[in-house]
Amino acid sequence: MLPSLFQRKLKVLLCCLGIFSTQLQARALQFWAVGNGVEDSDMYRQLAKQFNAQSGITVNVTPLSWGNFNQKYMTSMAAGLPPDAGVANLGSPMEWGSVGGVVDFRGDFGTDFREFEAGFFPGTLPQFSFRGHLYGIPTELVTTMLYIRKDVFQKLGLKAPSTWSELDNCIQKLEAAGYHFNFGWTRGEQWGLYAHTLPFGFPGLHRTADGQTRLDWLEPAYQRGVLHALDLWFLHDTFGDGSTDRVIGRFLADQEDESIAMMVEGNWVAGSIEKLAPERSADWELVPWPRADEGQAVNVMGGTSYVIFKGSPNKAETLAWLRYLNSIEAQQFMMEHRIQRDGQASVFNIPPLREVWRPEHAAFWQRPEFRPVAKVIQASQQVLETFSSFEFVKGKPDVDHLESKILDRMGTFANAELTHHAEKHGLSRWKYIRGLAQGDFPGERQAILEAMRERLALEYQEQYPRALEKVRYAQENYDRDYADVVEHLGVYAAKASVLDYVKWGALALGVALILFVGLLPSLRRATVSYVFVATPLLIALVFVLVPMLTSLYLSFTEYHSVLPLASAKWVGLKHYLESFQWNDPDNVLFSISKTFFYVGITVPLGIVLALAFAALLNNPLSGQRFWRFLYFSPLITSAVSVSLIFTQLYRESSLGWLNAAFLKLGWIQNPLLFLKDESSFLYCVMGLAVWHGLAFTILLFLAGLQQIPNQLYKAAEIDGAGWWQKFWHISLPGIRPQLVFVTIMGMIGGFQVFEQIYMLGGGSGFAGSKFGPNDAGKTMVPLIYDLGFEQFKMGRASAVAYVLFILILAFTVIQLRLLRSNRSDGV
Amino acid sequence: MSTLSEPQSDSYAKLQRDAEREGKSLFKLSQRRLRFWKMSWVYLVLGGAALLLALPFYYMLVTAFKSTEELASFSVSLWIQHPSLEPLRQLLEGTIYLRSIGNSLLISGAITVGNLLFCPLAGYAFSKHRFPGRDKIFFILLSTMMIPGAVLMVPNFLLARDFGWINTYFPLIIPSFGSVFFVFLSRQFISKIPNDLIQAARVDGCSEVRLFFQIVLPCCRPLLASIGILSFLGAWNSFIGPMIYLLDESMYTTPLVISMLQGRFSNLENVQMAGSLLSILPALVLFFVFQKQIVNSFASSGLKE
Repeated sequence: MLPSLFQRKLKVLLCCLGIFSTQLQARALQFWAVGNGVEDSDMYRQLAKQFNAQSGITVNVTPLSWGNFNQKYMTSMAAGLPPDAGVANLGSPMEWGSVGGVVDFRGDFGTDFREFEAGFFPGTLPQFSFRGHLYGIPTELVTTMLYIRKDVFQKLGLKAPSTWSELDNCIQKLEAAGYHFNFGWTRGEQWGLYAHTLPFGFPGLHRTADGQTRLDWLEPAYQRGVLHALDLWFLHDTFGDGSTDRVIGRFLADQEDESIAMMVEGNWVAGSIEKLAPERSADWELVPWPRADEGQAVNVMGGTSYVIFKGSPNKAETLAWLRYLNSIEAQQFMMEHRIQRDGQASVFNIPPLREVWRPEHAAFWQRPEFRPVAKVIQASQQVLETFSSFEFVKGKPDVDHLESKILDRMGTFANAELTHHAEKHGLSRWKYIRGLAQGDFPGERQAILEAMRERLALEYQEQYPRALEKVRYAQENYDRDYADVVEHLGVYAAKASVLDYVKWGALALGVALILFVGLLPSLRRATVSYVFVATPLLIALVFVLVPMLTSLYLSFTEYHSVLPLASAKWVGLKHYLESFQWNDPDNVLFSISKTFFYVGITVPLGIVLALAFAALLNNPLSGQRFWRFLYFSPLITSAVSVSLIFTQLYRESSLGWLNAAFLKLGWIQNPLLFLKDESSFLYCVMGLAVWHGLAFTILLFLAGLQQIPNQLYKAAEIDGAGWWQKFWHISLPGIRPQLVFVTIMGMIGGFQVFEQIYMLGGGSGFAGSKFGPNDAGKTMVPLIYDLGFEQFKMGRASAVAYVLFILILAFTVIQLRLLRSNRSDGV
Repeated sequence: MSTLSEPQSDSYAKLQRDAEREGKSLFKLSQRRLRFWKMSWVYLVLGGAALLLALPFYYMLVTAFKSTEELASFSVSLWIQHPSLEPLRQLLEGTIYLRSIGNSLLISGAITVGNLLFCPLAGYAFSKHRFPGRDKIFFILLSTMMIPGAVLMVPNFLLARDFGWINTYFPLIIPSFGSVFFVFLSRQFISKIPNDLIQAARVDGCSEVRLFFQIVLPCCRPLLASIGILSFLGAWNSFIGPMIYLLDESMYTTPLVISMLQGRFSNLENVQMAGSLLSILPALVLFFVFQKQIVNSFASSGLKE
């Protein structure tokens, strides 16, 4: 009995080991997919199953979200743990390729890839290429389309616009009649600009035919395009309605002053409109984005791409998997899978392969499940040939970042102009927009546009030299340092790096300490004590001392973490100097001033509020437990969960609870923009932080108050002191230690605020984290995080971290000094 | 000046009890009623403020149970018209929420156990042992508290990569062992344990390790509660570390899963709130049950010297 049980167990164990080892042998491909929901990973899993049946190759699918996919991919490449292949956004392949993270399809696969490459629409490929290498291939494309309520148009005698001036005319007529125009997807996005500037031949930063790098910012036509975009984005429908569902609800509704008769949205939305209200199907139509009056037709291109990682050990199998995904069979499966999803998850993305659109597959599009998106399929066919893209230029992320901030500021400016004018007439924003369209305020629209034009010209003028410098530096730096590293990755990987030296140093120090203790008799007697204190000491040595020294060295180098650490190049004080230049987009002064502002408001405000509540709670109340529960409960909640709640409370439309309440109370006429406005973003973070931090402060003060002997108060009462005098002369001095503690801790905590800003800034909602409009919430830690783990500029991040360290150190020392001198005064 | 200065008593709770007892014995019924009226404005202010402060929780509760159709309607409703469990279902099916709780428990548990063991141990040596360099070592440790975690983010990432720790729990757990703050707290607390007690045990031939576990630790219950609760909550709520180090979704911690909701359910506010609710509610229930211990441990964290 017993041996048989043992044998059976052994068998099971062996079996498990066997399964484990066969799995290892099969070398399943790791495939990461950034996507919007669970459905995408489900889709890829089903495809993987079919692929497995055909080829015997196993593919494991891991979903990633848009918010941090870049950081995840970069981290995996930096750690040498990348998947075999992945889905990324359009911009990533050449960025990762240029630091040796992903495979060059053309170079590494040669003729194998030629025929595969020919299948794509040619305009889609240049954006993945860099110096003749091709680092990615498109997965699926999205573009902006014009959604139109035909019935409203008919009523007003309008026809679907096909040029920009017709578009402007339609908007004006609609608004005059009390209908909205809404610009949804790509509003305010830097990369969405090229649909507005490319018709004039200006894509922004690009390489000219003769190999020169050009930046078009100062071209009048370029600025005209941008201004038109700003007009469409910011001078019409009021900001945000929250969910796309609501926008669609308004698109389908038919009340004046509320419904949207024309909107710009991504092509994937069509399916959900049809699903939400099939009975309205005849009332709306969908047309491609209008062309510029004088200029070529250009459509914005968004979407995703496939990449294969250099670290993959199974590149040939991985390419087979990607080829399978681009087969007509898999493409059609994806189309069907996407369109058949529930409600909003039902999407239509444009396949970038010619094959799918060939006449012989026309029957496929006639299937009943595609009926809801028949309009978008038709419109997509019209725009496919107009997609075009440009080869990547080093320095583009920096330039895009600068321009993105310009657009943020312009959005704030446009909104302020509009609100200012509306208030001048005593109107709400929408009433004013309507009035403008009706011609009630002649010349004012021109005046607003003129003000914006001037401001825009000024912005570009100011930022242009900076942008050029960034590009020049990025290119020189790349040619000098990285190009060589990427060619010789192996050599650098084998070299010893600063971390190795520091580690060996630390190890030597540790061994020396142990020998010291072991050899000196006076110390050996205390061995037990040393063992007792060893853990915190060891941790401090390894995880504080070693990192501090490493990052001190790194702060003087240029280092991209996907490359081996030994490739870090000495640049001296560059990072420190650049950090202190006002016109650098990542300058630390900006962040320091934000941080001080944040700390300077949250700490005193928190203390005053907490004092008041603590004083009230210190009364002999009935139901103490209840009150404490109410007031202390935020203590144990995580910043992330709480921030998520506040993000919704701060919603910028009249549907957000705070806005709804303020509107109802008559405090405001227009919904506040809260998180979408540069000037109010940080206040919103402060509101959240004060709310969240209040519990702890109240608790400490209350604990302090309760230690003050009651006799003191009694004695004061006998002396005829009022409550204020008692509070001022007894309570406050009584909790001095707590006050000091709360101030110091509040400041140190405030200097390091991160989660709240990350979440309120959009968290995972956008591609790549943003810290509020125009980086309004980029305090110190968000700056370090952004530099280190989004931009992966480890040297610069280290320099900023050191600045923060010195700042906090200085503050603590000053405070302790003040404290000590106070104490010696006998206070 | 510290609640922790007397290890055997829990002065905060004691004072609270005293205050309650005083309230009961000193005032007769009529006086209490009079007092109640005098106090009515305090109740009013506190009650009003509490309503405001609880608003986010209320919003979360209401929204988490709204159906998606109700959300899409163009109105603000303070109550749920059509209660629905659909958001919860979507959350549980669309994320690895339950698994993430297990992950968070594992990490937080490991950190807590480590701190409960190593911090009092070091604190004991620092307060009751004499050995060369003791005060210097303690000062060096204390000064590392000055270095903000954010400064170490970048180099610690490179270190973890060097150790092959990316996408494991080690970089989240190991550096948190022996937190200097808790060592400091332990030293303060243990220094108040009478030396005679320890000396007597030593005379009886008790080894240092046994002495620590059988004599010192049993005297430290409030300290252990504080270290346990604070380090657990700290680890449970931590976000940036797991975000940087974890790659596989199956390894995500709860805050990480919650932070992903904005992306994954971008237009579904109800699902997002269901996520917040699921992460906050258990904590609130635990807080309700262990209110005293939790409040005391937070209070003790704020009283230094």
